[in-house]
Amino acid sequence: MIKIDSEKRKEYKIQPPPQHTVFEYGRGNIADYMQKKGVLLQEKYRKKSEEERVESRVQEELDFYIHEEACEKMFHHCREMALTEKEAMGFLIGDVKYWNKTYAVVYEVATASLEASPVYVRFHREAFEELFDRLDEIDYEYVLVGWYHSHLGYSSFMSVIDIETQKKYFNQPFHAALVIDPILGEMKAFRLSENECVEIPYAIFR
Amino acid sequence: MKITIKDAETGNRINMEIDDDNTVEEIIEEAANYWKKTPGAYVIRLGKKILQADLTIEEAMLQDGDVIEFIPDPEGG
Repeated sequence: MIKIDSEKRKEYKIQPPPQHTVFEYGRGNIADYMQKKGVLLQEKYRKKSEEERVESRVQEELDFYIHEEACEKMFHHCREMALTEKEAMGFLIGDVKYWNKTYAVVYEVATASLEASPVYVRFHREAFEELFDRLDEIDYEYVLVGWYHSHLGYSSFMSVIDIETQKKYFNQPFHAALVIDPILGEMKAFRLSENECVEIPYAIFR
Repeated sequence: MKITIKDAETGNRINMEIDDDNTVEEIIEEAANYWKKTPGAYVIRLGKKILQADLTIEEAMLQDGDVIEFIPDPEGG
């Protein structure tokens, strides 16, 4: 016999969003920001992809925040993988909070060994134990608020396979996907809204 | 025996009562159905180990109070 006794839903902490933003998408140029962080790569690393682009409309309201250190880790991971002509990927780990509206905060990222090519990426089966170690280091009730992955010079967009992942795993209103292109100097955030792909603004905070 | 299942994507948890003759697969299916997830799409972890669906509770060494967690297995292109 299996019986579900009760469900404990995650409670969203009531707290103002991060105030010390160092970059806000739509107000600054992310390529300049990436240049300053020394993560841009030369054109010679650019790859071609036949991936079908899923068109997305744009949401204006800001409700997605990324800690600067987490952002730098993602940038460097994407850069290092691009140097080996492979896509990078990882989880966005953080929390969901409330202040007049629900918003998500990425405090850290986690990745592990990948099965990757210039146009495809997933975790190695054996890599999950590395990920579990990383998750066990977190000392708060974390939520996987989304995932990131890179595109090698064919721009930041959601492909059909990316949308499938988003629908299968990251389909809550606070979830996001970050797509980083370290060659073109792009980072865009996307989410699903009524089963449609929406580009959303984000802020990087210190 | 009582165990807890955590959904890493939302932070939600369910408390579940199970018997020794249940299998890991039955637990996963029950939780996945409750959360409207695809059962086979997730990596299920118990501590630092991946729980294999075909194990019995005894083989998986599940104990009263254990927390198992649904972890996504994303693919990007």
